[in-house]
Amino acid sequence: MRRESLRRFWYHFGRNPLSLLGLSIVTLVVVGALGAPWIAPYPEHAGRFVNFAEAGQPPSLHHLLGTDTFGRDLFSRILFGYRISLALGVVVLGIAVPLGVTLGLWAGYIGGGIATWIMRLSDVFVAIPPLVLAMAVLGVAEPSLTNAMMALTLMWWPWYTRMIYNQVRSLRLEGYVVAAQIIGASATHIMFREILPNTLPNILTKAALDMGFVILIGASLSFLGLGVQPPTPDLGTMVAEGARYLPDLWWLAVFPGLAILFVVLGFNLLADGLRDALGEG
Amino acid sequence: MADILLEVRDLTKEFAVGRKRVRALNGVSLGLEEGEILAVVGESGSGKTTLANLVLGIEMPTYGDILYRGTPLKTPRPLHMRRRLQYVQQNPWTTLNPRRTVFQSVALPLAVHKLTPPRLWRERVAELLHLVGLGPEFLDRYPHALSGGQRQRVAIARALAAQPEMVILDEPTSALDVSVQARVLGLLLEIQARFSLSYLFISHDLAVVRNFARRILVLYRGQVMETGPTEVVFRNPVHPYTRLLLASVPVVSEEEAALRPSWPWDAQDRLGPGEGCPFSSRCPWAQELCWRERPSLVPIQKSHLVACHFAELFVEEVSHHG
Amino acid sequence: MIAVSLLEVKQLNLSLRTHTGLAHILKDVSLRVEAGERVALVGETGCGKSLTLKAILGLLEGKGLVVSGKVLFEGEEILGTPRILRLRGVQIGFIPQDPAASLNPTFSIADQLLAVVRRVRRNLPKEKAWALIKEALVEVAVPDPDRVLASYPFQLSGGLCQRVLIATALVNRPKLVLADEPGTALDVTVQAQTLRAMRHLTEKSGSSVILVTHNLGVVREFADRVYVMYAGTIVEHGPVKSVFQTPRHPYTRALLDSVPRLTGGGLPQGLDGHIPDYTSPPKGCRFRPRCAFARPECAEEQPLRQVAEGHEVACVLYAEVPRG
Ligand SMILES: Nc1ncnc2c1ncn2[C@@H]1O[C@H](COP(=O)(O)OP(=O)(O)OP(=O)(O)O)[C@@H](O)[C@H]1O
Ligand SMILES: Nc1ncnc2c1ncn2[C@@H]1O[C@H](COP(=O)(O)OP(=O)(O)OP(=O)(O)O)[C@@H](O)[C@H]1O
Ligand SMILES: [Mg+2]
Ligand SMILES: [Mg+2]
Repeated sequence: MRRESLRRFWYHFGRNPLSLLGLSIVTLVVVGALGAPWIAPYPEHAGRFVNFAEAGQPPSLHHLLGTDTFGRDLFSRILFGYRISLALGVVVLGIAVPLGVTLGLWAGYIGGGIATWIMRLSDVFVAIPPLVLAMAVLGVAEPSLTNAMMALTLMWWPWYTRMIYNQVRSLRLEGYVVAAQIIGASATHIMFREILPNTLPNILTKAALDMGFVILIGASLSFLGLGVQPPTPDLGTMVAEGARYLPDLWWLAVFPGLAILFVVLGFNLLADGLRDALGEG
Repeated sequence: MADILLEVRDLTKEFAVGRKRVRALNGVSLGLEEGEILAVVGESGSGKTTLANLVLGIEMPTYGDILYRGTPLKTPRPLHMRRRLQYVQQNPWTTLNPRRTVFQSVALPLAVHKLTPPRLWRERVAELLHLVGLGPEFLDRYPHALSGGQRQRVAIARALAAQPEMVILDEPTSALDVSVQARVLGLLLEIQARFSLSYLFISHDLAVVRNFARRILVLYRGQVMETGPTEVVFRNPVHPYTRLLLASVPVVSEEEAALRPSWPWDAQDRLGPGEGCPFSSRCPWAQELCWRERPSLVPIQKSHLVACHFAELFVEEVSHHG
Repeated sequence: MIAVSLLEVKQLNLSLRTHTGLAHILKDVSLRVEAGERVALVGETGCGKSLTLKAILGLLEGKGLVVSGKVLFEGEEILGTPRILRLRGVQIGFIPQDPAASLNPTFSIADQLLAVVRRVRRNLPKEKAWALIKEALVEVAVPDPDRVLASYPFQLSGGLCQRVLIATALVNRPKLVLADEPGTALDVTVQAQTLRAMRHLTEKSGSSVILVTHNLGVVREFADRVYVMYAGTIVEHGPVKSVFQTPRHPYTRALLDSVPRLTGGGLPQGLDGHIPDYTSPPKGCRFRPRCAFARPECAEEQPLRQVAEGHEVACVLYAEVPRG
């Protein structure tokens, strides 16, 4: 019967061309990033590579998106940049989502004094714009990829806590939850086996959407010099550096910028598609 | 006389709604014998589900006692009570978790109460499904692939998995088609006889109650209006509310239509003080006394009890006609 | 000249595209309503009752929809024509299945009723319009019309919402009222009162009614004639008396036999199985897989054959009867 649900999912998902576009973009980016060492025309350009002979070349057949001021192939660097972006997203959400969801389940189902405090805390976090909060944290800590990840994780869990909390408050009155309580099932069973699976569509949709956001904010932090430090090929850093050579070497800022836009758009479209298709139950 | 399994004494439940307190249940007493089916009928909001929730221990009574085999029940209920007392819900569409298979749902009581070793779960669940008329092909299905009747069968199998002594059935067939309803009710009767279960059967369908339960208890706004053996109450409904209920049932044959008491349909509702009989505002025969004073439940005959100041009058009237 | 029926549905077919394929739901549905007549459409859940009403009302839309057939109102085609837009709410009233969801929560009851009245009598002075809608509520036994008029839908009980909807459907004295399960969500006592009010009112204004229900008791209490629907097909129809006293189709019989009786006598047998999958319904009689009398001929199309005055049945058991 799983197959039947899957078929229904594909039916609704496949009906919307934008969802398919989102999925294609995301697949392309993921494959490109994972396969960067093999796909990139000049994998060695990802690191401390210098070849001033080819510096500052505009896009050509040789270098699809041109080269930077050190003579490095921009396309190769963007592919490697995606690795950083995706890693950032996966690590941040990989920690923030399970943490936020567990706290949300607890606060919503068991409640009590600690739960109240968790919810208050999440209220505070949610009220502050993410970029501002991350900047504040990184203003204290030293800018680095790890610290950027920590900062973003810290501000991301409350969103999931709130979302799950609200859902649990209504789901815990559902017939099947009451049935499990009457049978005498444990709170752990009810939270993780009865309630959690029914919140998964929402979690998935939000996580897909947030992948785009985390990547965007990660890039913004690097752009401001608060995130990944050169020479690691981060898209935000690349935009920041490229901006110094505008408008002559325009491709240096424009293409990494477009690359960010591309992946964020991909995740947004994918999330929209997921929401529609999973909502069809 | 058989032993009393469940006894409820003067049960009262109030809910806070805003500033006001709403009495969902007001001094209800009842007894359920071992192996007996007692039907609780009443319109929406009369407190049927509240009664079930109190007995199940989902809610705390404001006042009153619930005794099981003579001992008062503790809230929250100890695990062994949660096995003995099972529940089949009103709504087949929400009673099963959409993300869990039939097997997972039915096996839950087995796991919680350690009734069967895990390696035998599938076998046992298949056995239970067979008991409710479903084949083993249903084991790995998800609820969305089941019809309402099939879901309700699964819910019954889940209740049976706990090997209960008593089951509360909260309108188990009200969401089902008549053709399916008959099958599910038949199944419930069969199971009841086979395992000598006791049922507290909540319903608003009097025709179903007539054919399903041995005794009936009529609730109105949280109070017992009339109670007695089903046959007696249907032949001789005394309380005006019971008579209104019976008069309202849409029936499919002349014989049934003839059995329904007459009712002065054109009488208008009168809004009045809420001190007395809860039905007085809708009762065409209400007198000064009815507005003022709440009637207590008194026997008309042995085991036929009515809460109406003018019960005697209606007994007479009915015997004239019938 | 043959008199024209108020409403005539001819050979209505309806298919819907779903994720499992094309669902062939309504098959050759034909029905007829004369002026002043109360007709019931009865059948189990999912058999296509609501879809039939929606098709008549032109409320169906969407990409994956295939509709064919005729719907004639006073002899004029209304299926797929803009004419229905002018008729709906004026000549044809509708009482939808879900009362709470059918009233707009952002407008008061008075506003919603006035809007309906104004569709017909655009220039009615305010006091007269107000008196009219108040009267409309009194007619459906609303005890406290002024309070109800000033209320918003969520402030009213289900029973009151239902009565407001009935009043809305009837306020313009339509020639035809389509009611989808009025009162099934209500208590029996309220349901009985609601049906009484509806019968009384439509009698007074001479309106015809199509009442959709799954409750055979309601059919007997309310309607003059009944259409029995199974899996998107009409299997039997006729005067209520005739159909209830001598049901012919095995499905009608099974349905009637499933109803527990107030007189007692034990629980009925009921019926096994369920409605077929509409993406691949059985050929011929759609009840065949559940029928105790099924035989090979049932795989052929069964036309409606007259078995008594105005009483027709589509079943091979009556094949010897000349076709009506
Ligand atoms: N948790 C609650 N908070 C406030 N009021 C409640 C609550 N539960 C029930 N009530 C009120 O108590 C009364 C009885 O409700 P209950 O659900 O027991 O009725 P019921 O007989 O089961 O009705 P139905 O036939 O609609 O299921 C109603 O007036 C209801 O509004
Ligand atoms: N928009 C839709 N898309 C797909 N299937 C639909 C749609 N609307 C209705 N159906 C299907 O068409 C069939 C008939 O539906 P309909 O609502 O007419 O049934 P009904 O007889 O009114 O049942 P009920 O008594 O439950 O209201 C059902 O099997 C239903 O699942
Ligand atoms: Mg209830
Ligand atoms: Mg319907």
